[in-house]
Amino acid sequence: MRRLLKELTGARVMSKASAQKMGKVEGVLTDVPPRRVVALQVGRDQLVDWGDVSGVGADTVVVESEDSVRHAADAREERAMAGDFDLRGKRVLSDHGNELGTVTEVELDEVSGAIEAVETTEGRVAADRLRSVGTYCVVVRHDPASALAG
Amino acid sequence: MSVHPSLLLRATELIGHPVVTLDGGEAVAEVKDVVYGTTEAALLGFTLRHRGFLGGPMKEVLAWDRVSALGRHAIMIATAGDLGEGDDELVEEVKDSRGRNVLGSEVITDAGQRLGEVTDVVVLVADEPEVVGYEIGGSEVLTPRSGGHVFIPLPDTLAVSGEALMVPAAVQDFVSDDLAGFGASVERFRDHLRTSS
Repeated sequence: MRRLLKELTGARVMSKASAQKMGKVEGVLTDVPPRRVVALQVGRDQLVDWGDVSGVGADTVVVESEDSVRHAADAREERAMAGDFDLRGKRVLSDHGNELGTVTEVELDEVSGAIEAVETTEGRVAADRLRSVGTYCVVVRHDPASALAG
Repeated sequence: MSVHPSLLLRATELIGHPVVTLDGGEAVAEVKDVVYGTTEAALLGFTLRHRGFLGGPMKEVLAWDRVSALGRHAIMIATAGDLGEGDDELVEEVKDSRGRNVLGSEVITDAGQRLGEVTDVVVLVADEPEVVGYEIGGSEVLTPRSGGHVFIPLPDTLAVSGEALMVPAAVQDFVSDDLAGFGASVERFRDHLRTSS
Protein backbone atom coordinates (compact mmCIF):
# COMPACT_ATOMS: atom_id res chain seq x y z
CA MET A 1 0.00 0.00 0.00
CA ARG A 2 1.13 3.50 -0.77
CA ARG A 3 2.07 5.70 2.17
CA LEU A 4 3.46 9.17 2.55
CA LEU A 5 6.80 9.44 4.25
CA LYS A 6 5.43 11.91 6.78
CA GLU A 7 2.91 9.30 8.00
CA LEU A 8 5.73 7.13 9.34
CA THR A 9 7.30 9.90 11.37
CA GLY A 10 6.05 9.86 14.97
CA ALA A 11 4.79 6.26 14.83
CA ARG A 12 5.62 4.15 17.89
CA VAL A 13 8.13 1.35 17.42
CA MET A 14 7.27 -2.04 18.97
CA SER A 15 9.44 -5.15 19.31
CA LYS A 16 7.96 -8.30 17.81
CA ALA A 17 10.09 -10.44 20.16
CA SER A 18 9.09 -8.74 23.41
CA ALA A 19 5.97 -6.72 22.54
CA GLN A 20 7.66 -3.81 24.28
CA LYS A 21 7.60 -0.24 23.03
CA MET A 22 11.08 0.77 21.91
CA GLY A 23 10.55 4.40 21.09
CA LYS A 24 9.24 6.56 18.28
CA VAL A 25 10.15 6.97 14.62
CA GLU A 26 12.04 10.26 14.66
CA GLY A 27 13.11 10.13 11.05
CA VAL A 28 12.93 8.09 7.87
CA LEU A 29 16.25 7.64 6.07
CA THR A 30 15.95 7.30 2.31
CA ASP A 31 18.72 7.21 -0.25
CA VAL A 32 19.00 7.48 -4.04
CA PRO A 33 20.19 5.10 -5.26
CA PRO A 34 18.71 2.66 -4.13
CA ARG A 35 15.52 4.84 -4.24
CA ARG A 36 14.14 3.38 -1.04
CA VAL A 37 13.88 3.67 2.71
CA VAL A 38 17.13 2.31 4.09
CA ALA A 39 16.45 2.73 7.81
CA LEU A 40 14.23 4.32 10.42
CA GLN A 41 15.70 6.60 13.03
CA VAL A 42 14.42 5.50 16.44
CA GLY A 43 14.99 7.88 19.29
CA ARG A 44 17.71 10.47 19.01
CA ASP A 45 20.64 8.54 17.56
CA GLN A 46 19.66 4.96 16.79
CA LEU A 47 18.71 3.21 13.58
CA VAL A 48 16.68 0.18 12.56
CA ASP A 49 17.36 -1.25 9.10
CA TRP A 50 14.28 -1.38 6.91
CA GLY A 51 15.01 -5.10 6.51
CA ASP A 52 14.32 -5.55 10.25
CA VAL A 53 10.89 -3.95 10.01
CA SER A 54 8.25 -6.67 10.07
CA GLY A 55 5.18 -4.52 9.63
CA VAL A 56 3.86 -0.97 9.30
CA GLY A 57 0.42 -0.21 10.73
CA ALA A 58 -1.57 2.97 10.98
CA ASP A 59 0.47 4.34 13.87
CA THR A 60 2.77 1.48 14.85
CA VAL A 61 5.92 0.09 13.28
CA VAL A 62 6.86 -3.43 14.40
CA VAL A 63 10.53 -4.43 14.28
CA GLU A 64 12.06 -7.87 14.85
CA SER A 65 13.56 -7.32 18.30
CA GLU A 66 15.51 -4.98 20.59
CA ASP A 67 18.64 -6.29 18.85
CA SER A 68 17.53 -4.62 15.64
CA VAL A 69 18.58 -1.24 16.98
CA ARG A 70 22.05 -0.01 16.03
CA HIS A 71 24.11 3.14 15.62
CA ALA A 72 25.14 4.75 12.34
CA ALA A 73 27.64 2.45 10.61
CA ASP A 74 29.44 4.91 8.34
CA ALA A 75 29.86 8.56 7.41
CA ARG A 76 27.05 8.47 4.86
CA GLU A 77 24.59 7.17 7.47
CA GLU A 78 25.72 9.86 9.87
CA ARG A 79 25.07 12.47 7.19
CA ALA A 80 21.72 10.85 6.45
CA MET A 81 20.76 11.11 10.12
CA ALA A 82 21.75 14.76 10.05
CA GLY A 83 19.24 15.19 7.20
CA ASP A 84 21.72 15.70 4.34
CA PHE A 85 19.86 13.30 2.04
CA ASP A 86 16.34 14.05 3.20
CA LEU A 87 14.39 14.54 0.01
CA ARG A 88 11.79 16.82 1.51
CA GLY A 89 12.56 20.50 1.13
CA LYS A 90 15.25 19.81 -1.43
CA ARG A 91 15.40 21.44 -4.86
CA VAL A 92 14.84 19.13 -7.82
CA LEU A 93 17.19 19.54 -10.78
CA SER A 94 16.96 17.59 -14.03
CA ASP A 95 20.07 16.14 -15.62
CA HIS A 96 19.58 18.85 -18.27
CA GLY A 97 20.19 21.51 -15.62
CA ASN A 98 16.61 22.77 -15.21
CA GLU A 99 14.79 23.12 -11.89
CA LEU A 100 11.51 21.31 -11.19
CA GLY A 101 10.56 22.89 -7.88
CA THR A 102 11.15 21.65 -4.35
CA VAL A 103 10.20 18.25 -2.89
CA THR A 104 7.16 18.51 -0.64
CA GLU A 105 6.43 14.82 0.01
CA VAL A 106 7.65 11.32 -0.77
CA GLU A 107 5.35 8.42 -1.70
CA LEU A 108 6.48 5.01 -0.43
CA ASP A 109 5.44 1.41 -0.76
CA GLU A 110 4.98 0.47 2.89
CA VAL A 111 5.87 -3.19 2.33
CA SER A 112 9.04 -2.90 0.27
CA GLY A 113 10.07 0.57 1.42
CA ALA A 114 10.59 1.55 -2.22
CA ILE A 115 10.09 5.20 -3.17
CA GLU A 116 7.29 5.35 -5.74
CA ALA A 117 7.29 9.06 -6.47
CA VAL A 118 8.20 12.47 -5.12
CA GLU A 119 5.78 15.36 -5.07
CA THR A 120 7.29 18.75 -5.82
CA THR A 121 5.95 22.29 -5.74
CA GLU A 122 5.48 21.90 -9.51
CA GLY A 123 4.03 18.40 -9.74
CA ARG A 124 4.72 14.70 -9.35
CA VAL A 125 7.91 12.96 -10.47
CA ALA A 126 7.98 9.15 -10.76
CA ALA A 127 10.69 7.41 -8.76
CA ASP A 128 12.32 5.75 -11.77
CA ARG A 129 13.53 9.24 -12.78
CA LEU A 130 15.50 9.75 -9.54
CA ARG A 131 19.26 9.64 -10.19
CA SER A 132 20.96 10.90 -7.04
CA VAL A 133 20.56 13.03 -3.96
CA GLY A 134 23.06 15.31 -2.28
CA THR A 135 23.08 18.28 0.03
CA TYR A 136 22.39 20.62 -2.91
CA CYS A 137 19.63 18.86 -4.81
CA VAL A 138 17.84 15.77 -6.05
CA VAL A 139 18.93 14.96 -9.63
CA VAL A 140 16.19 13.51 -11.85
CA ARG A 141 16.26 12.25 -15.41
CA HIS A 142 14.98 14.58 -18.14
CA ASP A 143 11.74 13.14 -19.52
CA PRO A 144 10.28 14.78 -22.62
CA ALA A 145 7.08 12.74 -22.18
CA SER A 146 6.39 14.23 -18.74
CA ALA A 147 4.53 17.46 -17.99
CA LEU A 148 7.55 18.18 -15.78
CA ALA A 149 10.12 17.36 -18.43
CA GLY A 150 13.04 19.17 -16.86
CA MET B 1 13.07 23.18 -38.10
CA SER B 2 13.45 26.17 -35.87
CA VAL B 3 15.33 26.25 -32.60
CA HIS B 4 13.04 26.81 -29.62
CA PRO B 5 13.96 30.15 -28.03
CA SER B 6 13.87 28.72 -24.51
CA LEU B 7 16.88 26.61 -25.52
CA LEU B 8 18.96 29.68 -26.37
CA LEU B 9 20.86 31.64 -23.80
CA ARG B 10 23.62 34.20 -23.60
CA ALA B 11 26.91 32.74 -22.37
CA THR B 12 27.27 35.51 -19.79
CA GLU B 13 23.99 34.33 -18.22
CA LEU B 14 25.92 31.21 -17.20
CA ILE B 15 28.12 33.25 -14.86
CA GLY B 16 27.04 32.39 -11.32
CA HIS B 17 25.39 29.12 -12.36
CA PRO B 18 26.12 26.26 -9.94
CA VAL B 19 28.10 23.30 -11.29
CA VAL B 20 26.23 20.21 -10.06
CA THR B 21 27.25 16.53 -10.10
CA LEU B 22 24.86 13.99 -11.64
CA ASP B 23 26.13 11.20 -9.43
CA GLY B 24 26.00 13.06 -6.13
CA GLY B 25 23.53 15.95 -6.32
CA GLU B 26 26.23 18.26 -4.98
CA ALA B 27 27.05 21.78 -6.15
CA VAL B 28 30.84 21.60 -6.37
CA ALA B 29 31.53 25.05 -7.83
CA GLU B 30 29.97 28.02 -9.52
CA VAL B 31 30.85 29.63 -12.82
CA LYS B 32 33.21 32.58 -12.43
CA ASP B 33 33.72 33.34 -16.09
CA VAL B 34 33.22 31.95 -19.57
CA VAL B 35 36.38 31.13 -21.57
CA TYR B 36 36.20 31.57 -25.33
CA GLY B 37 38.50 30.19 -28.00
CA THR B 38 40.62 32.65 -29.94
CA THR B 39 41.25 30.57 -33.04
CA GLU B 40 37.76 29.20 -33.48
CA ALA B 41 34.33 30.42 -32.55
CA ALA B 42 33.71 28.17 -29.59
CA LEU B 43 33.38 28.07 -25.86
CA LEU B 44 36.38 26.32 -24.37
CA GLY B 45 35.01 26.09 -20.86
CA PHE B 46 34.60 27.93 -17.61
CA THR B 47 36.69 29.28 -14.79
CA LEU B 48 35.22 28.54 -11.37
CA ARG B 49 34.86 29.92 -7.90
CA HIS B 50 33.76 28.37 -4.63
CA ARG B 51 30.06 28.71 -3.98
CA GLY B 52 28.49 31.17 -1.64
CA PHE B 53 29.16 34.57 -0.26
CA LEU B 54 32.87 35.48 -0.50
CA GLY B 55 33.48 32.37 -2.64
CA GLY B 56 37.09 32.61 -3.78
CA PRO B 57 38.43 31.52 -7.17
CA MET B 58 39.23 27.83 -7.68
CA LYS B 59 42.32 26.55 -9.47
CA GLU B 60 40.26 23.88 -11.20
CA VAL B 61 38.49 24.75 -14.44
CA LEU B 62 35.64 23.09 -16.31
CA ALA B 63 36.50 22.15 -19.88
CA TRP B 64 33.67 22.22 -22.42
CA ASP B 65 34.01 18.50 -23.24
CA ARG B 66 33.28 17.60 -19.62
CA VAL B 67 29.96 19.46 -19.56
CA SER B 68 27.09 17.00 -19.46
CA ALA B 69 24.33 19.62 -19.80
CA LEU B 70 23.85 23.38 -19.72
CA GLY B 71 20.50 24.22 -18.19
CA ARG B 72 18.54 27.29 -17.23
CA HIS B 73 19.52 26.80 -13.58
CA ALA B 74 22.71 24.75 -13.50
CA ILE B 75 25.61 23.24 -15.41
CA MET B 76 25.63 19.47 -14.95
CA ILE B 77 28.76 17.30 -14.85
CA ALA B 78 28.96 13.54 -14.37
CA THR B 79 31.13 13.58 -11.30
CA ALA B 80 33.27 15.95 -9.22
CA GLY B 81 36.40 14.53 -10.89
CA ASP B 82 35.36 16.25 -14.13
CA LEU B 83 36.78 19.52 -12.82
CA GLY B 84 40.36 19.60 -14.09
CA GLU B 85 43.53 21.19 -12.83
CA GLY B 86 45.64 20.63 -15.92
CA ASP B 87 45.65 16.95 -16.66
CA ASP B 88 44.64 17.20 -20.30
CA GLU B 89 45.00 19.38 -23.37
CA LEU B 90 41.66 21.18 -23.26
CA VAL B 91 42.02 21.98 -19.56
CA GLU B 92 45.42 23.53 -20.34
CA GLU B 93 43.88 25.51 -23.19
CA VAL B 94 41.11 26.80 -20.93
CA LYS B 95 43.69 27.91 -18.38
CA ASP B 96 45.84 29.58 -21.05
CA SER B 97 42.86 31.39 -22.59
CA ARG B 98 41.45 32.77 -19.35
CA GLY B 99 42.66 36.31 -19.93
CA ARG B 100 41.46 36.55 -23.52
CA ASN B 101 38.01 37.50 -24.50
CA VAL B 102 35.96 37.38 -27.66
CA LEU B 103 33.67 39.97 -26.09
CA GLY B 104 34.58 43.34 -27.53
CA SER B 105 35.93 41.89 -30.78
CA GLU B 106 34.94 43.71 -33.95
CA VAL B 107 32.66 41.92 -36.38
CA ILE B 108 33.60 42.50 -40.03
CA THR B 109 31.92 41.04 -43.11
CA ASP B 110 33.92 39.63 -45.99
CA ALA B 111 32.63 42.65 -47.94
CA GLY B 112 34.60 44.83 -45.56
CA GLN B 113 31.67 46.22 -43.61
CA ARG B 114 31.95 46.70 -39.84
CA LEU B 115 28.82 45.31 -38.15
CA GLY B 116 29.67 46.19 -34.55
CA GLU B 117 31.26 44.55 -31.53
CA VAL B 118 30.56 41.21 -29.86
CA THR B 119 28.70 41.77 -26.59
CA ASP B 120 27.77 38.14 -25.92
CA VAL B 121 27.84 34.60 -27.30
CA VAL B 122 24.57 32.72 -27.87
CA VAL B 123 24.56 29.07 -26.81
CA LEU B 124 22.04 26.43 -27.80
CA VAL B 125 21.45 24.31 -24.72
CA ALA B 126 20.19 21.01 -26.08
CA ASP B 127 21.53 17.49 -25.65
CA GLU B 128 24.72 18.64 -27.33
CA PRO B 129 25.32 22.28 -26.35
CA GLU B 130 26.78 24.45 -29.12
CA VAL B 131 27.55 28.07 -29.93
CA VAL B 132 25.05 29.28 -32.54
CA GLY B 133 25.58 33.01 -32.74
CA TYR B 134 26.69 36.32 -31.35
CA GLU B 135 25.02 39.28 -29.80
CA ILE B 136 26.39 42.45 -31.35
CA GLY B 137 26.26 45.98 -30.03
CA GLY B 138 27.46 49.36 -31.23
CA SER B 139 26.20 48.51 -34.67
CA GLU B 140 26.51 51.19 -37.30
CA VAL B 141 24.70 49.38 -40.10
CA LEU B 142 22.24 47.15 -38.30
CA THR B 143 19.45 49.06 -36.66
CA PRO B 144 17.59 46.98 -34.09
CA ARG B 145 14.00 47.97 -33.41
CA SER B 146 14.45 47.68 -29.67
CA GLY B 147 17.48 48.05 -27.45
CA GLY B 148 20.97 48.56 -28.74
CA HIS B 149 21.75 44.97 -29.65
CA VAL B 150 21.13 42.51 -32.47
CA PHE B 151 21.85 38.81 -32.86
CA ILE B 152 23.70 37.26 -35.77
CA PRO B 153 23.87 33.55 -36.50
CA LEU B 154 27.21 31.83 -36.60
CA PRO B 155 28.29 30.13 -39.79
CA ASP B 156 29.84 26.70 -39.48
CA THR B 157 33.25 28.12 -40.27
CA LEU B 158 34.39 31.55 -39.28
CA ALA B 159 37.74 33.30 -39.10
CA VAL B 160 38.56 34.65 -35.67
CA SER B 161 41.59 36.60 -34.52
CA GLY B 162 42.31 38.34 -31.25
CA GLU B 163 40.74 41.52 -32.59
CA ALA B 164 38.04 40.64 -35.09
CA LEU B 165 35.54 38.06 -36.33
CA MET B 166 35.18 37.67 -40.08
CA VAL B 167 31.65 36.72 -41.17
CA PRO B 168 30.02 36.27 -44.57
CA ALA B 169 28.21 39.40 -45.81
CA ALA B 170 25.05 37.32 -46.17
CA VAL B 171 24.76 37.21 -42.38
CA GLN B 172 23.11 40.63 -42.55
CA ASP B 173 19.97 39.06 -44.00
CA PHE B 174 19.56 36.87 -40.92
CA VAL B 175 19.83 39.39 -38.12
CA SER B 176 17.33 39.24 -35.24
CA ASP B 177 16.38 41.82 -32.66
CA ASP B 178 15.72 39.27 -29.95
CA LEU B 179 16.41 35.68 -28.96
CA ALA B 180 12.81 34.69 -29.71
CA GLY B 181 13.26 35.36 -33.40
CA PHE B 182 16.86 34.23 -33.41
CA GLY B 183 16.16 30.49 -33.26
CA ALA B 184 14.54 30.60 -36.68
CA SER B 185 17.31 32.81 -38.09
CA VAL B 186 20.00 30.31 -37.16
CA GLU B 187 18.29 27.55 -39.11
CA ARG B 188 17.49 29.74 -42.13
CA PHE B 189 21.04 31.06 -42.26
CA ARG B 190 22.56 27.59 -42.11
CA ASP B 191 20.18 26.37 -44.82
CA HIS B 192 21.20 29.35 -46.92
CA LEU B 193 24.91 28.53 -46.50
CA ARG B 194 24.30 24.88 -47.35
CA THR B 195 22.34 25.58 -50.54
CA SER B 196 24.63 28.38 -51.77
CA SER B 197 27.86 26.48 -51.33
